[in-house]
Amino acid sequence: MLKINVQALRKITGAFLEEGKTVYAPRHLGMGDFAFDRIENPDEFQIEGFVNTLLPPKEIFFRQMETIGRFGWKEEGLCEDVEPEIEDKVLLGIRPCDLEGLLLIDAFYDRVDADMPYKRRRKKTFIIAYACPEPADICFCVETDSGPWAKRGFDWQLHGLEEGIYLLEVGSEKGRELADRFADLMEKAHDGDLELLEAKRKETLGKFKKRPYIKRGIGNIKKVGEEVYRYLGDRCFRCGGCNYLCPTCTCYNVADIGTRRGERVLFWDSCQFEGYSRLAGDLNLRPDQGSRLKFRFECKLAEWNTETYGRIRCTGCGRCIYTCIGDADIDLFLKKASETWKGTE
Amino acid sequence: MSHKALKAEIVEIKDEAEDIKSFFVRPDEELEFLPGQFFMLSLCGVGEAPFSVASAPHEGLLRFTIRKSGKVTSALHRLRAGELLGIRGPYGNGFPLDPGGTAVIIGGGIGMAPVRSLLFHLLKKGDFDLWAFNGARSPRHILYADELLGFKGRTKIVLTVDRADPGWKYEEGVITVPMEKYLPKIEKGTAYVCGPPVMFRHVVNTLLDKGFREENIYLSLEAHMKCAFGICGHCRIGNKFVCVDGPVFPYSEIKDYEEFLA
Repeated sequence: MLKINVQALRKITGAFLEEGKTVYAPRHLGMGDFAFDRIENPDEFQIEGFVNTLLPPKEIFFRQMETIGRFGWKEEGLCEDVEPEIEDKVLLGIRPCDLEGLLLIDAFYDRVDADMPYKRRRKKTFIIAYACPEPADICFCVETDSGPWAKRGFDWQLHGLEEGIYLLEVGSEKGRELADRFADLMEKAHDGDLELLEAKRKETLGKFKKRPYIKRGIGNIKKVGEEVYRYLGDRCFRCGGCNYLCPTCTCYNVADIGTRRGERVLFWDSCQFEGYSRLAGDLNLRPDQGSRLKFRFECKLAEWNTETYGRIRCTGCGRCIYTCIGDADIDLFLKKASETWKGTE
Repeated sequence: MSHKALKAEIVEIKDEAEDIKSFFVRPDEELEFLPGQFFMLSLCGVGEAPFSVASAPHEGLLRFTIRKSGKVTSALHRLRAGELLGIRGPYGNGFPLDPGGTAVIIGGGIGMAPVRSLLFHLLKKGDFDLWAFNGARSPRHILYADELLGFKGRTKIVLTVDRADPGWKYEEGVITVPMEKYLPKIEKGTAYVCGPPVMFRHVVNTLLDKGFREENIYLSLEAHMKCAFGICGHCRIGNKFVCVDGPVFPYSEIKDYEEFLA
């Protein structure tokens, strides 16, 4: 472990910017809201003092809307591919739950042999994770094995000791090289620092709200009755917020904008929308909201996720809980899934 | 995302049935495929959609039989011979090509298109005991009737419509009616089914009654895929994707997914 302070971190960020790297880090939007943003100068970011950003940083790699083709510009009848914009970048301050989300998207895309902007963007990214000292009420990463500190996937991970002072954990070869390069901005951690980190971690774990029903509910997912999905389906407002805020959701749709001359655009879709499962001839595979929620919860939690991706695809970030206006979220779902349902309460 | 489309010329368009046309297409490069696979067809300014091939691989031009039912298909129906479209593929697994006994092919409505490819492939390949049941709502909706009649010997073709009209000379009733009536007990063989989800359950039950094992009944599923290589999410069924792991699945693998078997 190394030790670094926030001033040194800003200096390193400045060096990254000078050599032309793009740096994405949390920025305070006001009223306590934070979001990942492109940082123009090293004083702009803030990595501590809040739990997490409004959106996970997946949109840096998997854009909410992206032009993938153009037509009417060159050859008639054919849509020309548009070369995606790929930056050499640094992602600073990503939380463990969101990092695990990126790793799960990686695993999802690694199944297919196709060149995608996401894969190219991921490869050209240096990741500096920030281990969480403080959970929010909705956080349950401890139940999904994806926090509050990261175990994989980072180049560096920062662990706060006190405000502006961090232990720096190297997680990759690339991370080792950069730590060597900036060695004069860091020092070796002392035994006392490591002891303090252990004590801090224990304290952090103690702050999580106990949710025993999470694991029980996941274990019980096969046995969840249709009435649970119906009950939640009735509460769901079909806004798609759970999908858009989810660090592991990747479903997209494609549409052509323009008629004779225009663009083919890829944009995020939501399995909670009626049109998502619509087939030709006005058939719909999932005509009711309950079946759409079932589709979503199984996508994240069904047993086959572990076989295919090594783990469930919920990282416990809790965003879908706070965004859900109908209270049809994964927390209530798992409460219901963990008990034997006995009808409406 | 990746997977570049080729340009393809529409060589011929044939009216097949009410709101259904076949497009005979020649891509810029030859695209080899297997019966049951599909291609993504696109029209700039309209969009892209998946379509299975109705022609058998040896028939030359790619033939797509398309019902006017949405944005892309309506735009396709407005095209004329000589016009261009984008094509990429083939995608998906296709049907198993050795029936290992009697082949029973069942197509309902526009679902006849992919099984037509298989049917003509098997007819060319060898002499099988082969049954083909082709069902549609009415005589105005039946596909390929003129091409299917006239086979003799071990090939038995049955046409049926839900509601006949005075000129109709063939069977009347939903597709399971003539299946029950004509199909003998079959000990060894493979069934190939494509049609609307509402048809699947009944057809599968009939086939099970006739002696087929669950793993020898293959269903070609429909989903509205956007990518065709397993990432857009629309066609997920459990941890499988219709576009990559399908569209053809043995019944034994998908029987728990009720949405596909309504």
